[in-house]
Amino acid sequence: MTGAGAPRSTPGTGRHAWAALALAAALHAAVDAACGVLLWGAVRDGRLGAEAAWAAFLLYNLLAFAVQPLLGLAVDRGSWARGGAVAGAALTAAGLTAAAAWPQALTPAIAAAGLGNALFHVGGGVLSLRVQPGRATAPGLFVAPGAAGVTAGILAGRAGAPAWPFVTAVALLAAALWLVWPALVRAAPGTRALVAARAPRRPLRLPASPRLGFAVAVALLLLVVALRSFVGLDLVMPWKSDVTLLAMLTGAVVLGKAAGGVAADRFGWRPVACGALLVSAPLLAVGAASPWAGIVGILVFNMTMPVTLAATARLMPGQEGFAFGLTCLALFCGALPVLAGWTPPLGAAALAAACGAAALALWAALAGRSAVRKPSDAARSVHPDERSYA
Amino acid sequence: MRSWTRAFAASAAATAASLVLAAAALADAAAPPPGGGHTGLLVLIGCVVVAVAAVSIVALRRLATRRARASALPEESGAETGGRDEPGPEDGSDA
Repeated sequence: MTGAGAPRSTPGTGRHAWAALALAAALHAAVDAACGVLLWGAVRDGRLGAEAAWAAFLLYNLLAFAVQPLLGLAVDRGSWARGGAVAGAALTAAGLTAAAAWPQALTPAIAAAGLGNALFHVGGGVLSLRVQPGRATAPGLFVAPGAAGVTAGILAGRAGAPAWPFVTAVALLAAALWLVWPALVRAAPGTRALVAARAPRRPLRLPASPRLGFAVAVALLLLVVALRSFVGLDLVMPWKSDVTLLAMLTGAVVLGKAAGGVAADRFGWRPVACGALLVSAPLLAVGAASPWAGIVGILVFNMTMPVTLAATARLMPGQEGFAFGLTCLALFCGALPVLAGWTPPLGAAALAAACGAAALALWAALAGRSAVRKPSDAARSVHPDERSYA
Repeated sequence: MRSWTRAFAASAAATAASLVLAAAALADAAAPPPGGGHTGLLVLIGCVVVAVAAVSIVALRRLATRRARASALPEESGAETGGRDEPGPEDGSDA
């Protein structure tokens, strides 16, 4: 159903949108790597002792993840997705530069990097969620390279790598994203809504949904995200000290997130996401002893991520930044007990129980009439402007 | 004041408060108190998380209300069909 006067899709629209997404995904990796270099570089050169490092990492994560809902509200309200993504990347680069140039300014540098990372995530998240409204593929592809960036940043920081390559990469990619974004308008009028990255003027067509159903669906999805975060961070894999295995593990995270969205859109959200959680449980349970089981388990485990993100965004049409931020707040809440050292590593039975609970909650959330319909339904209900570049 | 304006103002205030708290906590992290321990830091983190969660819950309640209102509109309305009469002034204005 297309509204009269709505912009028409043009040949190449999809390609342009996907090109912007690829740029944003590359920038995601660069921003996360820059943060890793900042923090681990400070640990390496002794500016952060053991106690201070623990607290600094906790606080960095607080700024980078927990404040995202607030930034998401602001980005959605002001339609600042493009500006938010680029400003966030610039702030991160500024933080890394400051930490390198003025070692005594480490505290504000970490704060800037954390806040910049949060702002970038929200802006880029909005872009990814609007490239393909109602689908999980694009958000998965946007988020996936972040894990590679984090690992690269940690390794580079530990090795004492200089900051300038990372600052340069972030600056160049951010500039490219800033320049490419408006060019999409000229190249393909159908992408105007993407370029403007703002909500449709009128609400999307929504499923009949009682308020309780909405609240339950949101709560279940965020519970799944928090459980996944807790389990993922609580896993003990001593073999990660081997750089080759660490690289393979990182590749599994990237591949899992990227493939999860594609597979979920192809075969259905519930079977893929819930099945992945159930399949991953036994693999992760033996992952401490067996690197191969652990790597495969992590790959499968991460396939759930794009579905929970896209499903949360489906619940909040036009508020994609807020939805993205909520999932990141849930990530932080799930990680907090582990980051703060409050919980011992899970045993196999507890791990299986946590994965099972998450699968059950996700099944219930996706099954609710309120919320999150299958992608084929979602594609029928999105605003024509958005559908034109899907 | 519109609901989203209020939510935005609240989120801006909460963001500012979060940053102040985080800066204080970072300072605490850089110079831990004699005898160690970061109880104050964890309390500050808890405060930030609770503040953000509170603002988020307010925003979610407003979203739920808006959804309920939108789904109650008749089928013929633009809100139900997702269509609109003409491109709005905001289209592409960010370019």
